[in-house]
Amino acid sequence: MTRTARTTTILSIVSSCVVPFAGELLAAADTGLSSPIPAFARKYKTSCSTCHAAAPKLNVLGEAFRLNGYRFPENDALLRKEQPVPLGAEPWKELWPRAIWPGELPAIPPVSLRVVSDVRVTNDDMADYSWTYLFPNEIYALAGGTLGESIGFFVEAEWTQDEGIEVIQAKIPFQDPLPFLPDRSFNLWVGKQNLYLLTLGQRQIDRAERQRLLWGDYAISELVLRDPSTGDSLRSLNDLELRFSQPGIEINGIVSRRAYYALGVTQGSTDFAADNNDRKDFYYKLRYKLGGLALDGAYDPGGEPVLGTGGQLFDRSLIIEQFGYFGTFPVANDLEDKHHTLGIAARWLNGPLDLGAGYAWGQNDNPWGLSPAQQSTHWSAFLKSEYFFFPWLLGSLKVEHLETDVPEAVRAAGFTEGALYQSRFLPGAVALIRQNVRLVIEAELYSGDSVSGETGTQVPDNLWFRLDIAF
Amino acid sequence: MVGGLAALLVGPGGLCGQGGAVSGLVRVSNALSRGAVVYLISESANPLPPAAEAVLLDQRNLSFVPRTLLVPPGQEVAFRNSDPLLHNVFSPDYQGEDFNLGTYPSGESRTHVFKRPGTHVILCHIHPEMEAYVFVNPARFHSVVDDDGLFLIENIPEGEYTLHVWHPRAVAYRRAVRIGANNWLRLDIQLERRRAGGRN
Repeated sequence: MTRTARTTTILSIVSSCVVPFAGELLAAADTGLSSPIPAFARKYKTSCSTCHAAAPKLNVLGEAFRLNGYRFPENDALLRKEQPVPLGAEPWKELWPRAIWPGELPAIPPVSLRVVSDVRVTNDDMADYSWTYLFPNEIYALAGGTLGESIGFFVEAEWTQDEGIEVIQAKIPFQDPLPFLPDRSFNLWVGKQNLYLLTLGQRQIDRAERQRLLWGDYAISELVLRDPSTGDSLRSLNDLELRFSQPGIEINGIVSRRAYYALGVTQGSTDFAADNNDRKDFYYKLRYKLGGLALDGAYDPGGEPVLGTGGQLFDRSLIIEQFGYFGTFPVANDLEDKHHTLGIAARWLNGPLDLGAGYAWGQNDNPWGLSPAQQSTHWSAFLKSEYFFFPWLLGSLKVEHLETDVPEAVRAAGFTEGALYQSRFLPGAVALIRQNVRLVIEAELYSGDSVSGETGTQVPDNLWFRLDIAF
Repeated sequence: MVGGLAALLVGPGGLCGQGGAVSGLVRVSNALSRGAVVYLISESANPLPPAAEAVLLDQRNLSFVPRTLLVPPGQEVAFRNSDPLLHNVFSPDYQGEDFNLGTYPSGESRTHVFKRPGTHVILCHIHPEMEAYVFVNPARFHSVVDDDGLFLIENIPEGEYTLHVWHPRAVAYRRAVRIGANNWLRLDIQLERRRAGGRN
């Protein structure tokens, strides 16, 4: 595709997404009240539906925007309405290295807030139905933008009732730092960042509903094994969860427009300011997209956007993705738990339908620091479906199972009880009251659940009501 | 000037006292091309001589005003500092004619005579966001595109010309045009953005 044709495509995507909402949403954009990440809405004066299916769930253009370092893949400068503060005129580039390469600052502070309030209805053994008001339950401060033509930034800080204040992400994408390589084929992302190991069911990429998938939440430290005869328990110190963001350095890129790769090295722990061992963790991500909008944000010749009745940007494509994560965690004196997780998923986008399924498998070589080492494995299968019944109403259903295999020697030692498996399904719906005001209803129902070794009880079913606003 | 150009684009003709005129809209990749220069070259047209007095390129509100200036070779340009702070004026060696007028205070003016045709980038060492272009060309018939992307060249003698468009961020454009007596030619020109030093 020629550059001119690609330009037209990006411009037409943006305009086609905005035009159906033009009166109401652009007026809202003018007041900065149209997007869950209003920093971008203010910058481009466009509605959140340009990049989000049901914010914060990204649509395919939003994903291309993210992969491109938080700028539109082509002609970002044309689409930008807020003119940045220049830090040097463009001719200074030709004077380099005798001068500093010119950059820019956002003209207005690119900061926005997201406030999430929840009502949790729990059915457990203690009280038949308890209603808990979590007003608010989470508050996010989000900032994102660009610092010139090839440097971006994304900062996400979070306050939650459970964990207080935490910086979730603070990353600097350097796009195309090696200009002799093909465009977008080599980017360097530095900082605390979400690993986005699978786009299916990952934080921020796909958080239309409340809960994340079990494999991402899995931590061997939460598998408390209990000896029912003595009451003794066995617990690992390895509390790594793949869903957590980590300080790290990632190299990523797009090859042949439809293949994506990433290689990363991370701290391997999120709870320590300094690393707790002399090793680093590593991961890789691979993705290939067939059909629809390519990962570089352009259609193949003859391709065109798939639009919903309300002007939403849909896609017809198949995404295959695979990851591997390899780490080391100290669990006892001079003893380490080497662990790794592999995952694969397929995701089919067909207009209003987003259907995906996947499988993750992990192994901990010595999670309890025993000698001789005792190995534990776990696996999870998951299926997720989302469907837009109306432009403002998204239905979702997740079904998943997670199972841990404890070595025979540990069982023989008496530790036979614990949350060794979970099966659950989560039906839910997201209603977009406004572009930046969401109502989420989701049930968390356990069809199979082994008794928790720590509490001696099963995980209760929950029903969540969420009010989510961004401004 | 802007309102006048806009009226020319939407209203009927009758503008030309003598000769023809050419007007129109210039875009660079769908964006208005403020600061572009449109000029006509023909073998018969006499080159524009330099004016006796220096042409002013002001430094005001941390900007060069105007941002684009077209002058003939040999023209003296005065760079005045109208800001209440120090400014510097220099031009890198792109046309074999680099110069540095030094750093000088408010109210002071320093001059340079542009000898070589071509694009001369004007920068300020103290404020690297400031930029201007002195486009040195002997074209007698020319127009700097305004903030609305519009241009107008009037009183053009009848004849065959090559119309050129220059923009600092665009690939150079040219096409043949015929200007008739009392003829008003209107053009919509689309420039291709030039990839200089990286993507936008």
